[in-house]
This record gives sequence, structure tokens and C-alpha cells, in this order.
Amino acid sequence: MSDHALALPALPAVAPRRRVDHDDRAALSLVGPIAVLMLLLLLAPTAAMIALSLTDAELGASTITFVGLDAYRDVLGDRTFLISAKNTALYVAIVTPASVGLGLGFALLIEAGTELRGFFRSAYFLPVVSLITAMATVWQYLMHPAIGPINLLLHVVGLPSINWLGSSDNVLGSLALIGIWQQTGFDMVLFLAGLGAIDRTLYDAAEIDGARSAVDRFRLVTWPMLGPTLLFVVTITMINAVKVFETVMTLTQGGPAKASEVLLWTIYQEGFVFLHLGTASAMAVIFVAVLLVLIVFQTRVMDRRVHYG
Amino acid sequence: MSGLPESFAAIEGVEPARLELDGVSKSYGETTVLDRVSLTVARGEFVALVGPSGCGKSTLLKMVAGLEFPDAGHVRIAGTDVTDVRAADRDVAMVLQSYALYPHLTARQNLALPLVMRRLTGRQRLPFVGRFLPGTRAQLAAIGADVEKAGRALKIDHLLDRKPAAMSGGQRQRVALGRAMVRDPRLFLMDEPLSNLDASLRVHTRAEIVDLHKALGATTVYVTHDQEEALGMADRVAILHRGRLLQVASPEIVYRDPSRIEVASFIGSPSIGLIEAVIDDRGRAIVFDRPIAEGFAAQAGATVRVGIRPEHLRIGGHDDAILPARLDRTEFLGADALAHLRLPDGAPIVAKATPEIYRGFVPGPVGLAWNAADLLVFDAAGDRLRPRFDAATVTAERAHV
Repeated sequence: MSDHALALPALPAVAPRRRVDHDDRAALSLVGPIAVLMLLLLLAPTAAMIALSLTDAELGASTITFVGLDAYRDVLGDRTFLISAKNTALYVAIVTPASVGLGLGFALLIEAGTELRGFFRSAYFLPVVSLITAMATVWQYLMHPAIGPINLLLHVVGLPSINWLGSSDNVLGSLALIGIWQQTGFDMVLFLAGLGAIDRTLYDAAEIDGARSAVDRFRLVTWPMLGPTLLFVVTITMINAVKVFETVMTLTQGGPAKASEVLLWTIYQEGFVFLHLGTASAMAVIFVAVLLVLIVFQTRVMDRRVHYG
Repeated sequence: MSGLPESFAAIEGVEPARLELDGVSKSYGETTVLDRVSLTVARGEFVALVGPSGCGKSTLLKMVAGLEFPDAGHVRIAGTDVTDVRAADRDVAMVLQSYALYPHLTARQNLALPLVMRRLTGRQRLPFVGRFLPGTRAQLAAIGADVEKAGRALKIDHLLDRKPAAMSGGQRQRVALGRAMVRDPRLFLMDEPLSNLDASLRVHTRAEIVDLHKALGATTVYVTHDQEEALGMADRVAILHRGRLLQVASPEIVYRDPSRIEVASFIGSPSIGLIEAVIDDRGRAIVFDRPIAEGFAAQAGATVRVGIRPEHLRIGGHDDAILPARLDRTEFLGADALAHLRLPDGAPIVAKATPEIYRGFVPGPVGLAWNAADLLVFDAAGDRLRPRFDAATVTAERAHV
């Protein structure tokens, strides 16, 4: 026994080390391909964007100089960019609560109903699968100040007609309306999935505990149980709203008088129309940074409050 | 109240309610789940509702709770017809099988919830605003005290500020039990409350629920698929099979004197051995050309099934046996042992005795014997056939090994 114990330290220490090397190599060969792909496809473009944002790069220009944070200073002092940021924030602030709320409402109605559930589900989901660029022409017609059916309808009931897309006071609201129309169905489908995952016996328990009204049951079971879904839906909806572009591109081109100038449109103009790659990259970096902050806030702070397991 | 655990003695009894089910039926489309079930549970009585899975026992319990409504028949609680009254208005407490605790609330909030729902008005329950309405504070304080009391009674007072996710299965079960008893229910329903617990905890909690029932005095309906649980806990056992109530009687009666073959096979573990026999012209039940029981009024040539409990089946020599059989193997279970046997036609049958009796038994031909008085005979339709006179003496002499 003691002989054996004494003999142990004398054993060559090489064997285990070789084993570790072998494991390391196996691990590297397994992780390697995806790590390279991630670097090339996900991280490199972002790095390139950040690098470009520190230069005065212009498409077609022969020279490129490092200008440090100049582009950021320009961008943050640029009136158009500030209007654009404010408009985008406003657009997000309208579209997110409205489409999340409507999506939840429709999901609850569909879940509570017995007939035609499949039909309603598909109907509300249609705007999500339809091509927004194509549907924009329909909206242009609907919102046309003179021949648009919406204004005709308003006229019939005796209300004054509204210049939906042509007035700088209305244009952002009109675009938000289209955004809500487009997003609600998506949110609804996510909520339907969340509602379906709620343990039915909790409603039995609520009923026995004396939750008489639908409001009581909603407050006691549905709302808290939907927490994780709600967090996800709000995050997705905000990201989608921040990325508004197609409707602006096809319907208003940022106008009138920059009233529908939004971030992606401004970046697009800067990069692809004015060919200011450096400035556009700086805007894009700011754009991504703002999105990241939003997402991190939601997942870190809110997550703790909606997951109970 | 002597003999009860200290903590339960503090619980005040309530006025228990009498429960009556009168011809209750329910079907979903073509499937009949419950077929004219009538059952009366006396005030303060503990009735176990047992049956194989899918027999409709949970549906029946939900009907008593008001979570399901019958197609026909009536439910009466304390003499009041509540057939169409919803659960929230029935003042019935229920422990659901999965416990159904609210995962976002602490144990304390879970326990308080039924009281908050019942004692506070809708306006008082409003977030923020409600707290400042007259009376809310006093009510909440009273609720808090009641919750503390229930927590102490169930020995979960140290868990009250935990959420369900941070508790073990047994702890959650106690919280679920607490949520049901905290409002002094007059009718207490439990849907397989022990099925998610491990074996040792189950036996322990079984005793606690019986103690709790004694302390509360509430009328209790307890659903389980575990016949042992039903026999051990209940004053009376109700056996439900394919939506029909077959027998309601004390545990001893349903075991010793079942009225239907389904009751005989469901109650008892291992289950009763059934041998098919034919009645001859002298009223004897004949199996493999041997009479094994006699004194039946059934028509000659009628097929009957003779049931014998494992513990009544004796294994002995070949000569004085009532039936020859083959011993396949014996199984040691600690206090008991089982002998797995085959009848001449190959049908399996099980005998149970203390391990000493089976010591030294080797597989091979054996003889089976029993006391005729222990036999339970059923006709082809499954109804119990009772001998016209006590035939025990006749066959018993042959049976002695």
C-alpha cells in the first residue's frame, strides 16, 4: 500500500499532458469552422463599418484619410440626422405600443373564440407575408388626398378630409399607421403561441380561488404568464420599427420637409446617394449601438422580472 | 382532537357541507364520460373516488368544483342546487394534481390569493389605488395573519417568501394544500394530490392529509388512481369504471365483498386471480372437470368467473389440491412473497404469503387450495353471484393441505 503510494509521484507526467493536447486539437477543429465563418460573416462587416466610420471615405474618391471621431461629431451635429433620430423615436413610440397592444387584443379574442379561428389568424397575418413595397402602392391609393377611399369615407360621414402623406404634420402618423397594420399580425401570432403555452390548470386554480371576471383572470394568470412572450414581442417590434424604410422609400422619400426623415432613410441617402461612406458608417454605428442598448436593457433588466423558473 | 399533531389542533373546524350528486351525466361528442352517477357524501365524510385512468373521476371532481358542468343530473352542496353555479361562486376548495401554483407569486401570495379574491372588493384589489381605500389595510392584515397561521399549521412558514420554482415537489404540494385550506372550506376536493411525490413522501403525506381532514372536519372528496391510497385514507371508497359508479362502501367492504368484477379486479394488489368456470346441473362451478365451488342458483351451463385473492391461494402437494398448477417462480418482496403460477390451461395466477411459507419452493407441478368462503364468484355480466347456502364446509375439508 505505502509502496504504491510512494511510487505514484514517480510516474511520468507526460501521459496526461499529451491527452490534453489531443483534446485541445479536437476542440479547435470542431469549433474552428464556425468561428471562422462567424468572424468573416458577422464580426468582420461590423468591424469594417466601424473602421470606415473613422475615415472620410467616399465612393469614387481616390484617397482615404483617417479622421478619427470627426464623422461622429459631424453626424451628431447634423440637423437632418437629429430630425431623423427624433422622427424614428416618435415612429417607434407610436408603432410599438399600438401593434403590441392590438396584437395582444386580437390574440386574446381569437383564443377566446371558437369558430373561424384559422381564418382570423390567417387574415391578420396577411400583412406580414405581403410585400410591403407592393402594398405601399395600395396604401398610396387609400390615402390619396383627392381620390383615396379613406378620405371619401370621411367625406361621407361629414368629416373634413385629411392630407395623409402630403402634410408634414400627418405624414409620420400615416406611416406609423401602415407600420402598425404591418406589425400587428406578427405580434398576434407570437402572442397566440404564448397564450397556447399557458398551463390551463392555472385558470382552473384562478376560478376556484374566486377570480370571477375575465379581468381578474387576465391579471392573475394571463398577463404574468405572458411575460416572457411580451418581452420578446416588444423587443422584436421595436427593432422592426426602428428599421422602418420601405414605406418611406416608396411613399414619401423622407418628405415633405424632412417630416418623414427616418434613420435608415438618412443612412441610405448618405451612403448610396451622396456616397459619403464615412458619414453613413458613423450613422450606422450609432444606429446599431442604440439598438444594442435597447436589446441589452430589455434582456438583462426585464428578463429577471418575467421569468419565474 | 387527541392524537393529532400539535399544529393541526390550532385549526378551527368549519361547518362541513353535505354533497349530493344526483344522476350526473356528461359526454363529449360520442364519448360518454359519466353515466348517471349518483353519490352522497355526508357532512365531514372523507370519500375517495378511485378508478383506472380515463374512468371519469377527474371530470366528476371538476363537476363538483364547478369547472365542468353536467349534461344531465344535479349537484347539490349543503342542500343548495349548484348544478349551474360556477366554481368561483361555489366556495369549494380544490388541490389540483399539478398543484397549479402561480409561478410569479411567492408562497405567501399564493396562500393569500383566495382570501384576497373573496374578502376584498374589486376596487380594493386595484393596484396602488386599492391600498388606500377604506378597510383595505385591515383586511390585508387579517389575511396576512390567516396565511401565517396556515403556514405554521402546514410547517411551511419558513418557505412563505419563496416562489414555487425554488421549492421541492413536496413543499409545493404543501403550499397547494395550504392555498386550499386557508379559507376554511366547507368542501375540500383533491385531485391526485400525491401522484407527483416520491414513494416515501407519499406515505407520510397520506397520514398528514388524514390528520388535516380530522382537524378541519371539512367534507372531502379525494380522487386517486391508487387503490392503496383510497383504502388507507377514506371513510368510504367509490369505484368508478367507464363513467359508471360501481360501488360505494367502506374500504373493507369493497375489498372483501365487491359487488362487481371490476371492483374485485381493481381493488387489491396484486390483483385478484380470476378463473373461468361453468355451472353444472347441481349448481357447482366446474373448472377443468373439477368442482371448485358450489351452491349457485345460476342456470346449468352458465359461465362464471371465480375470483380468488392472492393471499387466499394456498400452494400445497399434488394430492389434496383443488386444482393442479405449475409454479413458475417465487418473488421475495420483504414482508411478503409472491408465487407466480400457471393453471393447466396456461393462464397466470398469483399467490401471496409470507416468505417463510415459500422458502424452498422450486418451479414445477404444485396443487392449489383455498377456503370456499373466500371465493368471489361473478356471472358472465360481471355481477356478483352469492352461494345459496354456506358451501364453505364442504369444500373446506378438501382444501386443507
